[in-house]
Amino acid sequence: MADKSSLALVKRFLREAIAERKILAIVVVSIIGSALATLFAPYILSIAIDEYIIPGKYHELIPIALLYLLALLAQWLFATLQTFYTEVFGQKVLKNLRAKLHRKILDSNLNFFKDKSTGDLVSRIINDTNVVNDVLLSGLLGGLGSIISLSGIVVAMLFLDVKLTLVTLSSVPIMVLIALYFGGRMRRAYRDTRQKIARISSVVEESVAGIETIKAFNKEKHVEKEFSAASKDTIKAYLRVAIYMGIFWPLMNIASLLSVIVVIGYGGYQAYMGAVSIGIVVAFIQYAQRFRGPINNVVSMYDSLQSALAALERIYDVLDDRGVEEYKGLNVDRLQGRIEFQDVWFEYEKGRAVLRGINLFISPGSKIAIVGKTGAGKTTMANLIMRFYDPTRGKLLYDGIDGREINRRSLRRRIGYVPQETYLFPGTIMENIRIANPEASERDVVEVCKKLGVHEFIMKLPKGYETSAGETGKLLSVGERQLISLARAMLKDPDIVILDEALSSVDPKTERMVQDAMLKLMEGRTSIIIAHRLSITRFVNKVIVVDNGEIVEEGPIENLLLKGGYFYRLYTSQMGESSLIDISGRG
Amino acid sequence: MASLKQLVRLLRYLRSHALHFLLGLGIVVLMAYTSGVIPVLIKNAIDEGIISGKYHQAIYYALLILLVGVLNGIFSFSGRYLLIKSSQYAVYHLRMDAFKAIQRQEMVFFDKTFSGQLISRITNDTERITRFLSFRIRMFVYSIFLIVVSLYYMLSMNLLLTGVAFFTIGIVVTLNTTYAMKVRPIYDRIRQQTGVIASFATGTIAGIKTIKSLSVEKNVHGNFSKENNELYTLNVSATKITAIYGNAPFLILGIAMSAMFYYGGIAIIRDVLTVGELVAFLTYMLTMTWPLRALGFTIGDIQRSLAAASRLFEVIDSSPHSVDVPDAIELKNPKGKVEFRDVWLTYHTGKTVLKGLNLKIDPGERILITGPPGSGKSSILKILARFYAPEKGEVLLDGVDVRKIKSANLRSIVAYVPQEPFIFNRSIRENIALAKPDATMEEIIEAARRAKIHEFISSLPEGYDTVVGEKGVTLSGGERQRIGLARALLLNPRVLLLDDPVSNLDAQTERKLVEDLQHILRNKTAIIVSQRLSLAKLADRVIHMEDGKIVEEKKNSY
Ligand SMILES: Nc1ncnc2c1ncn2[C@@H]1O[C@H](COP(=O)(O)OP(=O)(O)O)[C@@H](O)[C@H]1O
Ligand SMILES: Nc1ncnc2c1ncn2[C@@H]1O[C@H](COP(=O)(O)OP(=O)(O)O)[C@@H](O)[C@H]1O
Ligand SMILES: [Mg+2]
Ligand SMILES: [Mg+2]
Repeated sequence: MADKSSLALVKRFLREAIAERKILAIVVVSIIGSALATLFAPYILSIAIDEYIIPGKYHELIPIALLYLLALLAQWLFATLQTFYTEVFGQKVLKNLRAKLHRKILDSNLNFFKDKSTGDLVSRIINDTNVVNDVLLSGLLGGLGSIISLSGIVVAMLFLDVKLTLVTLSSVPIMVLIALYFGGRMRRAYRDTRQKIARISSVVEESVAGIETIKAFNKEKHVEKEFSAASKDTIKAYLRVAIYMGIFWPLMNIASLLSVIVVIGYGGYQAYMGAVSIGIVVAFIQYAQRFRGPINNVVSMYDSLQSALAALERIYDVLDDRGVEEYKGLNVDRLQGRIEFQDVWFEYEKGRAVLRGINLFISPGSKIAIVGKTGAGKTTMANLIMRFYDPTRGKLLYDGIDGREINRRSLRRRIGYVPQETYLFPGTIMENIRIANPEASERDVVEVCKKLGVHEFIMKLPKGYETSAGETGKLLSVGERQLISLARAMLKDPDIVILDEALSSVDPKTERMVQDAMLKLMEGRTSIIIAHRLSITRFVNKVIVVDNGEIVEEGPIENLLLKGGYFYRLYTSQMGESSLIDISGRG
Repeated sequence: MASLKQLVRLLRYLRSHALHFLLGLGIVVLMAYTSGVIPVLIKNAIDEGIISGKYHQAIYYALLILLVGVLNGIFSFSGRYLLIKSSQYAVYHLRMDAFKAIQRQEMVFFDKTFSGQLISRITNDTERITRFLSFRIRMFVYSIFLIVVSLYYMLSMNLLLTGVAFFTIGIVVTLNTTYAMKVRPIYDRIRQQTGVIASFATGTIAGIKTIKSLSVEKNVHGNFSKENNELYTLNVSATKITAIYGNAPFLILGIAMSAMFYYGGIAIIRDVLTVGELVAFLTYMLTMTWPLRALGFTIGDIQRSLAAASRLFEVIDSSPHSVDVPDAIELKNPKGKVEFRDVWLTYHTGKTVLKGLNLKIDPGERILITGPPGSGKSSILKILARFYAPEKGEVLLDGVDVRKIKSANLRSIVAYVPQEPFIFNRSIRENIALAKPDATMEEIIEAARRAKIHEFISSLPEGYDTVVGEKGVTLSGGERQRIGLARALLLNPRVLLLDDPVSNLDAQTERKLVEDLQHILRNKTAIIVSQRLSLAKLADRVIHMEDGKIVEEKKNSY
């Protein structure tokens, strides 16, 4: 069972790898060539000793020496070719795997990410692909070479003397046993050190990312202890490797010496009896010393194959995950911006409905506000409009078309969305805004920022638009990050605008200023604003109050306040009773 | 000689294991000797045993070979073990020093450094140093002695062939050293580029929602492919060097061995060399292939390993010796009086955020700070929490400059809740009890209640034992915020600094929280940054900041 599936894995991998046929052909030829060349040198040596040197044939020594040189040259040439093309082949396959994984991550839906950790996914892209290259490709191809040279050595030896061959080979089973015994153990011990090192990195990562909190709460000593423990574990793991390796290599060495000893003992006896020539015994001594490498290679190939398969499995696991977004359907160039929720139900996890029967009509070009408690389902509604998820039941219509029939990407292109958690890429502010619309010039960026009133804030920074945002934007204040991601969304010139608590860390005055600008920019666009600060509700056509996945109230602010229900309580608790006066004055 | 200093400093980390290290090196010399003597024994077996037909001699040598092989194995094991052990401990101390130094660093250091770089210092650089101390030095000593032993025995057999061998060794070592020097920088760039790809992928995953909502997948993937191709190109050029330089020694050795073969053959015919001796020469050449390569690599690696060490020393040296000044004091009975006296603050980017800030806060007074983004609100809290040092002016707590107060003491008086609290990948309980690991469950629940998060936590299937994932991913923004708050409330500090504590809370939750805070903050000095004017209820004074200055101050009259 396990074998069948590993076979399937390897087959699938090879089918994908075989695309580079020409290189593969060169690799195979050079492997065979180099294995054959390796065999010839001792063979020539034995012939030379027996037929030329001992009989004293002085003149024929030159051609045979040249032949010896030729064999060594061929060995070098093929080795060079093999090193180069194996690696090029492997790197090509590797590059494609990495690109495929990255592509896959981009195409995955948000559900895909829920149970995966960033570190783990990244390690699949970097480490697992490397393992596949190191062991599967180089290992497999190298192992192939070893098998060829091993059988070549045996054939050459058989050619010289059958009995001596059998005697010489007596140490082979010992070597195989040693390699089998230690191979798996060394690999596990080695893998253990990798894990321990990974643990050290994650302690460092967390202690650097959380340094502010660690310092603020005086936790340095505690983290230090944790780090020290992780470091000590590493020492233990390395010492275990040292012990295994320390026993393994000398044992292999002794086993290969055993062959030499046996050849001297038995071959010496045979030569003494005149049954074999001295040259042959000398050649066997040379051969016996050449076993160790190939046998070790073949045995470790078996072991590394296991870890390569584990890595391959982790890679295909991601590549085959069905949590992908499809990009089929209608391409929309422009939207009028009419959005309808028709009895929309949604659950992230089976059985726990987050939205329960939402019915909502948003007319084109109108502005609505969604308010409600944290966890009520507001962000979820935005997620559905963005088609990060599709409704479990019911449907969403855009300009009367079912969302499922529209290509997500073309839909998203028409929506300017500012998510609750702003994310900035490492790079300058200009780069961060411009990424939304690569066709926009730097002038367009400045223009949008000016219109939004964000320009002044950016110009206050040391290098203006060229100021670096730092890793995840850490060199900017939180409010500045929010303003930048707002400008980014507007640069798309979208038909629909969704702001999810987009200005939560901005002061009321700036908020009002940006809001005014936004309201102007939103003219003619459908706008959906999710906010906890309720002042915005004065400027929208309709307020939607969500509680526990349901719309509990809906209508213009005046109506809701008159009704004296949920929204009324929410509003007065935040704005105070006095604020009602200017509303009723307006109404 | 700068590098000699680095080496001495590095070796000093061996400390108590220095003896083990030296003993290990001694054993490696013995190991080299036993390895070097084996071809001689084989030669003797051939010449004195097989060719001359003295069978018992052959057996004698065969057994001798076995004995030497076993001895060699014992030496190999113990030398390796001792060296690895001593260098692992040395690197452990070095790593601890570096880590502690990082922890002592000022915040500016973290602003300037990518976290990936630090991780690489602590893991990759230290691993390279371990490899240098245990493996490289071992191979260096082993190779040198093996070559010396081999040359010695060769010399006793034939002068001319030894000359050839000596000459070859010179060329091969040079070649290998050049190879190592040439390929190392590329390997370094490969490592760096791998890091670039890793952080790129990390960015793709962290920003996936942003990427998708902007529909820029193609763009992002295009940039990824560029970096990916760059890595491929680097790998291919490394391969080119490896294929050419890495294999060249085989070519040289091949030519040398052919020459030996030819002249050796002639010498045998002329009876000045034995067959066994020729075989010994060839065997020596073969056994020296790997030591020669190791020698080249060690020579090429010394500089780089020392560079790695000096990068770590730099981290250690750039860090203040202690987080506290030598004459730091402890406030025994903190009252919580805070004063900013003409405080100026400039970040390393050149941005001056505080421009002559003057602010006096009485014990038990509560201040609300508002102001536009980037006006320096968060900076005020950070400078009081001593994350940044003022360029000019003083920040005083109970009349004492905060830089003169022992850090542990300051942290127990002042609790600071950052704008984006960091949540560790632990249980919620551990996260709340961060600063007070011995807190009872009752205390923790009480703090969670006050932070208005208890109800939510209880609704989780595993309650307080729920593990919240990397950086608290399984929590919403509002929940993270309240856990950060609970953390500080558990401490019951004299001075409380809250940066935007309610930005992601809805009006109702906020109102309940404010009601409770009114009670909790009684008699405490508090500085709260918030954009919600409803928090003014909590404050005795409201301060409005603009452009690093206080532009308005309002006393609350109730
Ligand atoms: N990815 C997710 N997986 C499972 N549950 C989720 C996920 N995202 C949100 N939820 C849950 O769905 C509910 C609604 O969340 P959300 O729409 O984000 O609320 P809000 O109204 O505060 O924006 C919450 O109970 C939240 O815990
Ligand atoms: N670590 C930092 N390095 C460089 N500049 C910073 C850093 N932190 C904040 N800034 C800059 O200093 C200014 C003030 O920041 P901050 O005090 O966080 O503002 P806010 O009033 O919004 O809290 C901002 O313009 C911000 O870009
Ligand atoms: Mg939300
Ligand atoms: Mg701030």
